[in-house]
Amino acid sequence: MTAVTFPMTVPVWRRAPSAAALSVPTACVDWARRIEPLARGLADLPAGWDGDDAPAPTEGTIRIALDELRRFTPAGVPMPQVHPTVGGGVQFEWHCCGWSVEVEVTPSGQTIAWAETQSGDQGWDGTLPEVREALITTLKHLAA
Amino acid sequence: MSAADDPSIADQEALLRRVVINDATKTWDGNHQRWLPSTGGFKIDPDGVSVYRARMLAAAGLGSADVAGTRKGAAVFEVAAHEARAESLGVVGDPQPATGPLGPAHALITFPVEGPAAKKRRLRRLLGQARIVHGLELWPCESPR
Repeated sequence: MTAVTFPMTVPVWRRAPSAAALSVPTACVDWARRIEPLARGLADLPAGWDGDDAPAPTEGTIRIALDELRRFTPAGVPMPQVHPTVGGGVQFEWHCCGWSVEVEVTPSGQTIAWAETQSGDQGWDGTLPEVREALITTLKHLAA
Repeated sequence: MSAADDPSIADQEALLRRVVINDATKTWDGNHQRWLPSTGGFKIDPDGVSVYRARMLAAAGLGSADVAGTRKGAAVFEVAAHEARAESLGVVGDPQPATGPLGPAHALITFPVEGPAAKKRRLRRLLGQARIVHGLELWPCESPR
C-alpha cells in the first residue's frame, strides 16, 4: 500500500499553482449574489452524494442557512465555500488567513460553529448563540 | 469524559476510510494550498466515525481497493491510530461480520463527550493529517477558480 501524505509528498504537479490563482477572498458585497446559486444548487444533489445515503439539503434549509449567513457575516469577509452535510444541512467554510472556520446549519435550524488557527493555539466551538460574538470577531480577522 | 479507546489497537495501526470525491465532499484549504475532505461528508454517529483496520483487512487478504469498492469516484484515506489519539480521539473495534468481507475489520474512531461543533473541530484536525492510499488520480490537482 502506497501512502501519500498531504501536503509534503503530493507530487508537484498536483499542488495548487499559486495563491494568486484563488478566487477567494472577495469583498462581501461581491459574493452575496454569487453564493446564492451555489447554495441553492445543493438542493439538486442526488441522494447519496456522499457515496452512502446522505440526502440533499432542502430548499428550506438552504434558505435558513443563507439568511443566517447574512446575519453573522461582517462586511469585507471573503466568500466562504458552501457544502452539504450528510445530515441534510448546509455548511459554510473559510480556510484562509491562518484560520479555519466552519458554520453548519442543520435541517432543524440549529447552527453550530467552530474556528481554529492554523497553529491550533486559538480556537472556539459551540452553538451559534454561544459563539456568535467569537464568530463575528474571527470573521473580522479574515476581512482585515 | 474521554473518548472510548482500545489500547490493544496499536498506535501504528492504519485506519482506512472511503471518501467519494466530488465537489460536495472536498474543500479547499487555502492555509495549506491543498484540498481536503470536507467534514460535511462525515457522519459523526454517537458511537463515532466508521473506519476499517488495515491490519485486519490484510489478514483477510483485503486492502484499500476493497474499501473503495466499485463505487465511482471512491478514494480511500488513511490515518494512524496514534494520530487519532493525539487529538484526544479513541479507536475501538466494531466488527460487523454480517455486512460482508470487510465487516470483521470495521472499527470506530470515538469522540469525547462534547458538543457537535467540538467534534467537527477534532475531525477536521484529523483529516488534515490524512493520507490518500487509493484513488490519488481522483484527487484534484488544481486550485479553485
